[in-house]
Amino acid sequence: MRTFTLITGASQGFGKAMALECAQRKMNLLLIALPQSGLGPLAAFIEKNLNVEVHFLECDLSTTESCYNIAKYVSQQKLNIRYLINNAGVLSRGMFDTLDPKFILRQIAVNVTTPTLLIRLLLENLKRSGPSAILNISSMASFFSLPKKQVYGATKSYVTAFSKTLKKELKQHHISVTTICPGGLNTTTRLCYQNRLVGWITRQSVLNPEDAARIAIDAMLKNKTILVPGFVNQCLMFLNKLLPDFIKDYLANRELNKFPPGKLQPGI
Amino acid sequence: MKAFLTGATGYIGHQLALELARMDITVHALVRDLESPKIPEHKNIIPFEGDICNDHAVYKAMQHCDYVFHTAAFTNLNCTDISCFYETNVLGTENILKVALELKIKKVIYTSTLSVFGPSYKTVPIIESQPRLTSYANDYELTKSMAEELVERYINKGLSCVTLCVTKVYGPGLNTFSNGVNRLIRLMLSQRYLLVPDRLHVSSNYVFIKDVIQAHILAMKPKVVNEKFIIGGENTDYANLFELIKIMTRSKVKIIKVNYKILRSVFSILNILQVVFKMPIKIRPQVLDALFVHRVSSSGKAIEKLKYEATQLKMGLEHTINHIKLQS
Repeated sequence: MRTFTLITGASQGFGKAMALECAQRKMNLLLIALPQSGLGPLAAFIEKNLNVEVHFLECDLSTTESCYNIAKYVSQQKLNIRYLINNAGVLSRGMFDTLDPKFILRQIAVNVTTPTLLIRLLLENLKRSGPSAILNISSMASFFSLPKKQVYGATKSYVTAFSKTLKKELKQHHISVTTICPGGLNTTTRLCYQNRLVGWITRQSVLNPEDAARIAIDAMLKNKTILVPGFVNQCLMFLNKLLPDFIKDYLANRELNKFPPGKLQPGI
Repeated sequence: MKAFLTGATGYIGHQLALELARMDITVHALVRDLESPKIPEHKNIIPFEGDICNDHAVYKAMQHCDYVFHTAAFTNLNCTDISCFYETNVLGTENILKVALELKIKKVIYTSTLSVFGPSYKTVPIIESQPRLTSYANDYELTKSMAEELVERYINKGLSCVTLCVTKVYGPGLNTFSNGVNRLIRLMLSQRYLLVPDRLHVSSNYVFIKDVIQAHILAMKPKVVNEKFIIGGENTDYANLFELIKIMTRSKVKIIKVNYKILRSVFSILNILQVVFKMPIKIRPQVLDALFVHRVSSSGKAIEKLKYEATQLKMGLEHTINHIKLQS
């Protein structure tokens, strides 16, 4: 049976790295991302040079309509989805009182509603293509209470909790569910620049997306439940269990107030 | 016709200023130091003192100009301070674009680099539409990519821009960090032994400086707007490049290959010692990494749309070797 790996948010950063990692493992792809985000050239490059079949759909994952369109495309094209990677996400933007209500709803839609609905809509397909796997991209932020990441952290806590329960339910259908909780990743130019300005320990915890992608796909194929990629991040998670709350709060606040110096901010 | 130019004391900008001046274009060259011996001399070149991050200086020099050539960049990969790269390559570029938009400049021709695409996938030549496949390996690649994003943003605001991503440039000209082939020729002419990493199969694209200058002139064509072009020459591996230079210079140099990982480790240790003892850093391991990955490319789009022509590597090297021999 010819099977496919569906990846959302595949045109940039971690999603793009996972698309390349899967293609190198000879997995056929269905890539989803926003229009004009470079998805077409990426799909063409992978298909031409990595010799796998690549489909792509450009849509805005903040609407439920897009999820139904993806499910419709999958059924029309008769694609057997063996691996579903819910990667698309909206990152944090600042303090809660400064956030536009529309942005908050969009963040919740992309980070919570879309992965939940996509899994539901593609569940029968995943069952037929089994043994299959779902990889949900959460974040280390789901374990911490970080200022400026309030809604983001909460949406990722949902992803982590939802995935753990779903894993128990879907075991009988031979569908594994894995959650990856990355820390900082060198994805966009802006984040790369910010990651180069933070303190030494934080900088060591930041991973390149291609390294995190390899770890994530390995974890999915090995049916891991939850994984924090990177040795330093794993140490931080261990410390998190040991340290009292007031020290964690102090460290989190110190790091957040550090970057980036005002004079080095361009208009991007 | 008048053109505003940044980087006139740099490798590309210096020769571009002279070429524009020869074409009877008045060049407003923005320079940090009016006393610099590197300022190109020609009756059509008017030096303006100022930094690219200074709005007033840029505004004053850019006024009444038709075209903007932004070649200035911070390229020294041995520098460990990202703010040096950021201020020149990102903030400086934003300042140039902002003033150009305000002054309704006809077109901005921005000199970028092939390294914004990252390494090639195996030996598949990089083309303009290729997505970047790996994360940013150094601060130069990162800040030049940020600058290209700014160019895109200003195109959306209505500014007309052309981006030229040049490959590894060689040929007669000023000695700067970015002309490594010229340095290699000098080493081959003066040294008896040359220690090189054993990754001589690594291929790159080499472009002759005159072709880069010509591409900037071709980019002025009115029909060419809001496009990006890879400006390159021939693709070849280090083994062939070393062999060519050795034969053409009649050098007796003995090339000794050293295991890449060992050499990198030695540079890493030296680097730590240099940082601890506050000595100037000669070669950072990141520089080796940037040099020893495949960076092959195709300039098919420039050839088709700009009618760009590239000089053969052998011919370009011959000019360069003769120039270096004359200099010494």
